[in-house]
Amino acid sequence: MHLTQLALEAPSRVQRVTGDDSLAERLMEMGLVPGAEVRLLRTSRLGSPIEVEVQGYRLCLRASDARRIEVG
Amino acid sequence: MTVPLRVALAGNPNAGKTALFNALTGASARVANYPGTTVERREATVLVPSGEAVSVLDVPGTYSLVARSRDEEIAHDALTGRLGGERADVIVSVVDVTRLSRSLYLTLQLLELGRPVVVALNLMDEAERRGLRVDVALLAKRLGAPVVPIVATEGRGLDALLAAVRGAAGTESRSPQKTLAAEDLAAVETARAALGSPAAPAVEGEALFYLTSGAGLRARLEPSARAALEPLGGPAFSQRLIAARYALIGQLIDGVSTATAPPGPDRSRRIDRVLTHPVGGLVLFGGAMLVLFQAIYAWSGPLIEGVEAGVGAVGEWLAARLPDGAVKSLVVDGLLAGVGNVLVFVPQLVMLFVGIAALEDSGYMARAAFLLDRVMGSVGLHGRAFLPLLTSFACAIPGVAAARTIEGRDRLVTMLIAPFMSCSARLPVYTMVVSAVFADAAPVLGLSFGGLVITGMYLLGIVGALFTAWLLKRTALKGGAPSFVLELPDYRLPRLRSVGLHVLRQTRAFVVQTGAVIVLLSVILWAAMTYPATALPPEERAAVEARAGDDAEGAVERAQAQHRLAHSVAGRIGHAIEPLIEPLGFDWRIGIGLVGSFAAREVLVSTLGQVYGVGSDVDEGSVVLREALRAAKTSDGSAQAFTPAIGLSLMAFFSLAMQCLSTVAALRRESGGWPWALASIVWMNGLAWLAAFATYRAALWAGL
Repeated sequence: MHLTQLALEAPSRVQRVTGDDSLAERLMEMGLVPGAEVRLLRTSRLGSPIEVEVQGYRLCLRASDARRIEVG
Repeated sequence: MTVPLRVALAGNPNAGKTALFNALTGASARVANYPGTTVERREATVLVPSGEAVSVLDVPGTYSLVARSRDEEIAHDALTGRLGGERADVIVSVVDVTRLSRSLYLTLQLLELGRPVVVALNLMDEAERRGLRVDVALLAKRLGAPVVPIVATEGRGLDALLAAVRGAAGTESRSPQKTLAAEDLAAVETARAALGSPAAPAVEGEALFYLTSGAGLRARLEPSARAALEPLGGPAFSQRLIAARYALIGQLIDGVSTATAPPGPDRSRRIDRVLTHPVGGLVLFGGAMLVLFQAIYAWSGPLIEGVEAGVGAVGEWLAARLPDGAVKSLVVDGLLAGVGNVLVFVPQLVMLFVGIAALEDSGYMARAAFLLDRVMGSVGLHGRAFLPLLTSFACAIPGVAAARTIEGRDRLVTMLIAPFMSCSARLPVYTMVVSAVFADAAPVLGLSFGGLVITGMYLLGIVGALFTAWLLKRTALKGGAPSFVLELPDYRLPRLRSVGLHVLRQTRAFVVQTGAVIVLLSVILWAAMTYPATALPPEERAAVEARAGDDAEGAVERAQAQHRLAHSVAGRIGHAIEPLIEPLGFDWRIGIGLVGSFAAREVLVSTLGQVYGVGSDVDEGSVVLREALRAAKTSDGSAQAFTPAIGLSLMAFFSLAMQCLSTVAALRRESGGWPWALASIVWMNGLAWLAAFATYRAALWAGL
């Protein structure tokens, strides 16, 4: 399961970030590291971007990027 | 005098780094770009209460020191002294206490650099409001670095911070130990030895920087070090390192920050429910933009008139005191006109900078990007590109400046396409042409034909912009839609002082840096349109006098001005480029207009007024100019010189061409040099030529 598939407001944990490019590193540096608690707060009307809470702050991501974050 | 202590402020965007910089330095900061970059470098030397001089450098806001983007590379190089002078004596790590774990990520990287680090724990007031209790002493002990609580916007804790900075100078820092696998630790040790020497290894941060950065950066290393690092590092290593840093942060802050009260309702989230609502949010965004453009377009009007009146009054005062001749003409028509061209933009820019600063400081800009990312992303642009493009419909100069809110190469793409938006200076040209050639055209579906043509010109500009963006994203500035990993900061009320300082610095930088180029180019253009000065031949003069009858004096004066312009350098260029513009339907007279319009597009109207002999005091609605354009004959006197086909062609050219020296100067400043500014001239004018050619041929074919 990945980040965009979470129910709204339901707490979950990052399992891993797929891919080995700079985007994967950027997402991890923003705090989306394995084990971090994450919640999906909102998806915009067209499905992208989405808003999540991680490390106690709020972050916007494109849905296509968020699909690389596996949660569970 | 002793050398001032060099302090660098580093921190995440929105951590309050700029607020701290403002609180420490006030209005004295100098703003420049890092050489060859679009990244602003802010520095100021201040006297601290003890009387000591401290130089404060504001490092670009960043979440990490890994050089994945140019901005991050600059942040790293500015801290280590690779860029623009000496390395910092002390690094102040500005930390948002309400986002402690994410903020400490950068702090760990700073500690790895080995330089003395002082942690400024900012937004303590916000932490109190949320009922967070922070054990400052415990955090300092675990980090092994001084930690000072501050409230940057109110200037609280600054004395203690400066005292800690002085105390830290000359010491060394060491990052708390991360848990890494043995092979990764070995790789770090190998890299340290290769980058320094086995006896004096490089600091951990240096090794990690090159182990995690792309191959491009390793190219700047010595061949031997490069070879030693070749098999080390890479993406998997980077990801393990990031996870290890966050694991360490988890241990560091365990028990440091405790909630003393249950978290209340999140104010920012409640505001967001309205401001980023799919429908209501867009309506409110439209309203915000409407207010901003009212300010830029309408409310700045009286100020612009004031500037013009002021410049005009100074011109008259000078004209009355200087003897007639070349010097007077240079000062009044060249220099002063150039200065006027700079100052006339200032009111609009101030309005824009106030608007942007308020939108940024309040946290709304991130929400606007959230709302618009889907639309802008479809052409490969960032959600933030919207504002600069919209602004450019008023004027490309503030539009180019507004692109500063975008990061990296997407900022460059945005700046390069902004001048395609039909700015307010193109409108007089459209209006003049339409009133000259389409005044009697029948309405289409009840809409004025001229109005439709003008709308078409606006659309043509937008198409040119999108095409250019599409092309740039596939060639020179390759890269997919920019990753949109955007923090939503908490809403804050913009501070008057912060907005004021921002506007002051930005405006000063524009006047000084862009202004110098504009003035210089204006003087060159004045010279081209004035020299060589030739007199009207006596036989022509007599002919004009005979024709004119009553108003002989005025007619001779106009004929003299016309003759002089036609034989000036600009006039000769007009003749010389005639073969080039002939396929577009233009003759040498329009050629002069094109040359003149490089000072500012609306100058075309008055230049054509001079060329067609109706004097220079015409505006786009002038009946005289309209009649003169309609009556004008080709050089052999056989046909109408200004046909609807030529009018359409001229408008299409103006819609796409880069003819504004002020915009070129702004592009040069913002892109960090001439190459992109010159490329923009070549590309836009080439595209304009093709569009005008196609328009002219199509119009002829359609029988216009």
